[in-house]
Amino acid sequence: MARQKTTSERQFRLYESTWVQRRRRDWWVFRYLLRIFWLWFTVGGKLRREKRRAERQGRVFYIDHIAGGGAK
Amino acid sequence: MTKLKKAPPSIDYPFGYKSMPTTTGNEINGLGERKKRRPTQVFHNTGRGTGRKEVPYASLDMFFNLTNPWSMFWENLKGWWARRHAAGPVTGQPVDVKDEAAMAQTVRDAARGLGIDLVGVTLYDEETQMQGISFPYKYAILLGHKMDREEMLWVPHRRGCTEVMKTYRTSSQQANQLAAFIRTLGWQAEGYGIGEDIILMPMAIKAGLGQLGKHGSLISKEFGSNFRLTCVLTDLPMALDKPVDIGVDDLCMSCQRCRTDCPPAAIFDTKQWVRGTEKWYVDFDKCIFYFTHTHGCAICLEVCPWSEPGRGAVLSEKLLAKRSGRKAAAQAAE
Repeated sequence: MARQKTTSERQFRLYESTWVQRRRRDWWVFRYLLRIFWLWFTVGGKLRREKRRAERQGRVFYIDHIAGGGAK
Repeated sequence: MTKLKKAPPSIDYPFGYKSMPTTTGNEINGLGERKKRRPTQVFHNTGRGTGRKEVPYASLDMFFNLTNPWSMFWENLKGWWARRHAAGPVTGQPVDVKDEAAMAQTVRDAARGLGIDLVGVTLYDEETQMQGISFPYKYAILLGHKMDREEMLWVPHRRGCTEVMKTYRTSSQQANQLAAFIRTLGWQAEGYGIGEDIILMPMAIKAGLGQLGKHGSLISKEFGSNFRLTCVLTDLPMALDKPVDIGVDDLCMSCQRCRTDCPPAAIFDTKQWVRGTEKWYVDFDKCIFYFTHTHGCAICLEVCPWSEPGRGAVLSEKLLAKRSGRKAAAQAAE
């Protein structure tokens, strides 16, 4: 059975690369990081606000739902 | 004695699970298990690989990642961008390695030239890696990168935790550069730093970078626990380093510093059985909420006596001398 590649191997790593392959990969990584930034900015912003608010009010902000698709 | 720059926050967390995951983190980690098995994913990188919904602590992991302050997140982004250089094509025919010790020294010199602080070579050990993950290489070059002690004394606050991420980013770049150097020798090599699905500590112990401490992290003679690990995997034949004994157990058995300074009291006083090995272990379920709350904590790493600059070598010498004195006295008594 062929070994399962890690996410990093599939997405970031080029072993025999041409200039075109490298630019294509760079573009892919750039867009990927842009998506992560957007998630941190929007969903993360909401979570950071909720955490601060809960801290001020002395209550607990429940995080169970986050892995299911972000702050509700 | 180390004094942190600012008092740590309390353990009154403003976040939590309404219903805790049915499997505890300690169960996933194999606490109390006497049978050997490979580790399974519990925290970090839970959004990838096995799929985030299958990992019980994925929500906490995502909460951690998304609530990190900008300074940490920015270092993380830069580190991920640098991962593009972790692999690449091999240039030229493989050099014929007749003297593996000399080759190991060449790699060590190259690493030092890149600013890497600790270097050790061992065999890549699949058994220490997470279930379902494997890497197609024979050797692992373990690299240690010291952190700025002055900045780290700000843990568990933003400034200290940002230094951790910054070190991860710069050290990943150095690991990638070392891998690129090895590829110029005609042998495939890849750098593994920030955000990779690789477990480094067991291989770092085998490569002689240090010993496991009571706080569940590596302790080196040179920097105590004030350093981070990366690694290069390769097939380039090199002489292997041996594990070291600098006397960590001798001190950890009696020292209580990390235990008393740990706000959630997550550090055990004795070694625990974990997946078939008796070793120092940190209570995941107590540690992880404080770790998330403070964006990385690291109090135990910095208050450790070994982490005080220049103290490790002296401490090691004293502890080993004491031990051999005890041994000699016991032999004389017999």
